[in-house]
Amino acid sequence: MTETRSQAYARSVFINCPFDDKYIQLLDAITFTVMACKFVARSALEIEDGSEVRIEKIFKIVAECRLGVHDLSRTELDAEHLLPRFNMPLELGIFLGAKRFGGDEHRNKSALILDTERFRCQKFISDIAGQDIKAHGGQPERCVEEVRNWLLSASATKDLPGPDAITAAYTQYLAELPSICALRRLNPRKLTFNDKTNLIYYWLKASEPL
Amino acid sequence: MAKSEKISTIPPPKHPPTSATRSELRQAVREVIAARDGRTGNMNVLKDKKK
Repeated sequence: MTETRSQAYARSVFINCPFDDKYIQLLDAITFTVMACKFVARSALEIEDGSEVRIEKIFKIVAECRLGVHDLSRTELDAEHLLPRFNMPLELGIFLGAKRFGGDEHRNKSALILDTERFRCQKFISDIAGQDIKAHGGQPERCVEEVRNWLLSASATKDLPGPDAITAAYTQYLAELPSICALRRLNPRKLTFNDKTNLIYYWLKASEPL
Repeated sequence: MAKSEKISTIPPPKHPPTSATRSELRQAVREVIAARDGRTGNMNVLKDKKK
């Protein structure tokens, strides 16, 4: 059965996280958790049309997602330019702006804001004081727990698997990913976001009766 | 969707994969899981572990 636009909106999660190699374990854990909880993982990485302006991709995805995971932990200076990357705070601002000014449909948007430490980001985005920041400490299993618990409260869904079950499933998925990729001659370290979401989808379907 | 409505299915990803077709990815996943189940029996990893 095809979902209506509002059903898809309610189940869609904008993942606004760093894409770099140092963060990839956390990004993958967040993506897996969103899908294991039966939500739709969305990212700017999913659109590979180079002709579309990046900020337009972000606007489109924010408009289509009621939920958003925003990780503000990447504040290190870029090695080449010695400047921090501000994309994640900008995209959080777009999300919060849509919630505030986007009309009735967007008023019920919900954001999970993550950082390595709970109160650290108040030092570099003081306007965020008062928001409930969750800490992941750079650990994938803490990302799993925070994302799962937030989805439970933000959606009022009561039948989500527990954090330990999701972590166990994710560990097993990671263990089997090299074998799966080998069958298609894919490099598990070079999978696109779309490849990953499809692999997770089929793996979850095959491992859990629906 | 009503806020309290039970979510019973995993929605498929929104965009197509780029390195292989969906059927190729699905087949690869099935082969690996079939091999695993042949070794270890049922592995419904999320079943019966709901909070």
